[in-house]
Amino acid sequence: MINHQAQPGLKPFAGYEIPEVERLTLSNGVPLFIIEGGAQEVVRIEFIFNAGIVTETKPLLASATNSMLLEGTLAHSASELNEIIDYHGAYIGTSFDSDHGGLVAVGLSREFEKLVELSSEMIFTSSFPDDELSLYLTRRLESFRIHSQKVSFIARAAFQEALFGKEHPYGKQIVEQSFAEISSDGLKAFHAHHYTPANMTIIVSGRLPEDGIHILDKHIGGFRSNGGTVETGDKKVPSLKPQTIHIKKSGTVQSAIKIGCRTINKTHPDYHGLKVVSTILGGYFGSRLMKSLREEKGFVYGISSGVTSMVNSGIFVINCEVGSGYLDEAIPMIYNDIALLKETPVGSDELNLVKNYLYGEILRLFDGPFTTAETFRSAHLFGNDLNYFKRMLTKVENITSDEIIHLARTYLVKEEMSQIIAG
Amino acid sequence: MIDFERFTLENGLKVIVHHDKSTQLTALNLLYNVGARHEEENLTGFAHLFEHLMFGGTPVIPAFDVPVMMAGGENNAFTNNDITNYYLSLPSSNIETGIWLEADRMRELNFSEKNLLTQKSVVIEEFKQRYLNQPYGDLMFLIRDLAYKVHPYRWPTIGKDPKHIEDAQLDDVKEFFYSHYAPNNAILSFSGSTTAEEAYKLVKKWFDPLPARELKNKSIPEEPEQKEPRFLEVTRDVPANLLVKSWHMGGRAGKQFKEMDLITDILSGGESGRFENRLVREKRVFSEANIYVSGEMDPGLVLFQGRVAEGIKMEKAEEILNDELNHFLNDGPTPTEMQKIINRFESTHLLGNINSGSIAMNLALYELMGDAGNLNREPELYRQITPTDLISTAREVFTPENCSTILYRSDKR
Repeated sequence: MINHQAQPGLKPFAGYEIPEVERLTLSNGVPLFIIEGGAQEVVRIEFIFNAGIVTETKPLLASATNSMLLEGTLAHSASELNEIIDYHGAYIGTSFDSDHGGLVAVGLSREFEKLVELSSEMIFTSSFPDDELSLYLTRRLESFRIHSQKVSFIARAAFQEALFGKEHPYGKQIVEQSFAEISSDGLKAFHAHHYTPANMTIIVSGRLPEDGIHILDKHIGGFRSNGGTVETGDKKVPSLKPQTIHIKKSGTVQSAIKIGCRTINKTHPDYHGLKVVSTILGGYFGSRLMKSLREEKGFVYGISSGVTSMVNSGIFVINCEVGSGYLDEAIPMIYNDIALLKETPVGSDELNLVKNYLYGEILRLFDGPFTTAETFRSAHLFGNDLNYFKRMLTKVENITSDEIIHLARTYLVKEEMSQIIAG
Repeated sequence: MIDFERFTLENGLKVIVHHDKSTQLTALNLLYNVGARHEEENLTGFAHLFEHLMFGGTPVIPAFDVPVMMAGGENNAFTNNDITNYYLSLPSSNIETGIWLEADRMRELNFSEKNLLTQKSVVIEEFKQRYLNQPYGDLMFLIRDLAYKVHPYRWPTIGKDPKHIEDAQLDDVKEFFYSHYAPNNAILSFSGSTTAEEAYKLVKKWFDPLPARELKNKSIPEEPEQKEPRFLEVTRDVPANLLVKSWHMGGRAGKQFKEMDLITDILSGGESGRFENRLVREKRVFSEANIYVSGEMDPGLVLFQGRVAEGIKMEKAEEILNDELNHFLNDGPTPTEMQKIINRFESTHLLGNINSGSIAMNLALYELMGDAGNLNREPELYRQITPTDLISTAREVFTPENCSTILYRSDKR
């Protein structure tokens, strides 16, 4: 008769193997990183440029340029490109965020050369046809109109503006007028400056053919940057007072809440520790915030807190959508949970739980070559290699409850936080 | 090739194991053959509510997530109209914890009023966040209600009405558990560096003591054939007009599903589908137009959703859509299109089976449909489909009598 109570023993934090990353350089100096492996004959290639939101001089410029890479080249129209891509069972899409823009190509290993050839064509000979641009802007504007009705969207835009100001690219809001100011010429100029070999990194993962590197050099290594340095402009983030804003919206049954502030990014020595703090507060299913607002009260479907890094800054934010009738009760509960972290040491059971959870999370960052490539990207673009995660693991293993209090007092300062409610 | 070993316990639990040396994790997937289609008409949303309750604790383990996280694991679940699926991913060294946890909550739950009350509240917030508080959020409610008159697919998984969730009683919960959550109603699959031998040993240890249960043998009423077209017109506070159409088709495990899968890929798969090229780019009657299979186990739906371009009348858009469909019914696919969709299928199939979680889930799903081994047979079966097959199936499905249409109008146009 099995003793139902007897929980299986756990193995302690075993070391784990960090996959190998091979580093090479193409003939034109473009750094190339390769992560080989996987059981299926598939491959993923990511082309990354310093061409994200932070590099734009007006809203939509960087994202529109990025999206339009798919919409026509000198040799092929958008429809022709789509036909070729689909015919070969390939997926070529854009990747875009605060700091970087690029292309990701995924497909069968036997189609590797086709993937590289197509990607190269789309990156370097992109033609920005007027009719495609017009169609893109129409569709995007429509999408924008739909999304901007959502409380989560409204809160997010207001939050970014509160943290970074109306002028900085991270904070400047997209409005209807933004769409009218985008032109083919503007995109071409942006493209010429930013989508160049001098500004580029390539990460390949999965199963490459034997002549894979030669193929990459053949289709990419021949391009030269056409002189001129890449403008980054002064991206210094202005110093701003935190704000408390409530944007009312009629007819909603939930309100979106964002509470947070600018903070350190992943290049800072305190970052790993701050991540642990943020996890305890709201970074996993059994977190303080989830317990208070979901499990105990049923006020929300989900609530979370997290730290994100951009090249020029970092953000700490608590996020949720709460039933509108519960708003007045929910907000003080959130601040209360923050305060608790600064006053009372985290108990050893809870701390062990979070440590073990984070250990598993770090392990999952290396689950297969494609995931590993994304993990590597996140480290590399901040000047780190995969040993960054070994350091993270060490911090997770060793952090004490005293240190957690100290970090919470340093970085989770209520007076420095903005509070945005929409709905 | 996803090779695997399979065994069945005496209590009826089916177990499937795929050994994969290339990862340090193991994904565990437990699929219960219960979904929204097994619900009573006045107790909808119940299978999904129940999924939430499964995390509320047992007499042995007060909170499910704690041991999972202590073992470095991650877990989640979903419910749809056919199944409730629980999955977790753990460092392989700790896989026994996952097996222990799933066996424990299959055996018995902590049936408490407090847990029920909290989860009801959470689910109602989910109802609001994902459906009531979103533009076009009621679309699935409307189309299901129009297309189905008898079959339980006529309500969505979240439920017909938040009130059903509010009214759920503890007795209903207990009854639901004992009549659906049983080893003889479940499939347990693994993918990762755990070997079949290890898995077998541990599964027997923790699941053998669980007895088979008497399942609720209520048969699900078949939807009668739709014999005339159906229409609904609504006006909502949304920015654009939406044209929605549905047609009835065969269930997931049948041949017709594969054929409709390919047909919808020709029409709106990837970026080079006919709808994108002709309806969106060329004729500009839609700003977005998609047709897709709903993928349900019992006879399901093919669904079309199109955002009508500004300045175009809905009736005109519908006419042009019908022309495009008729064109396919007459001429079928081109040879290039046939090759394209086969390449795309192969690619999708491989990419859909690279990570342990997906592999484990797909093995369980295919076992539910008859044989986990069919997962590997799919590319070959798809390659055997001919243009004639596609034309004849399209003609069978895309008829006016089989069609339900919703004109979902914006109050701003």
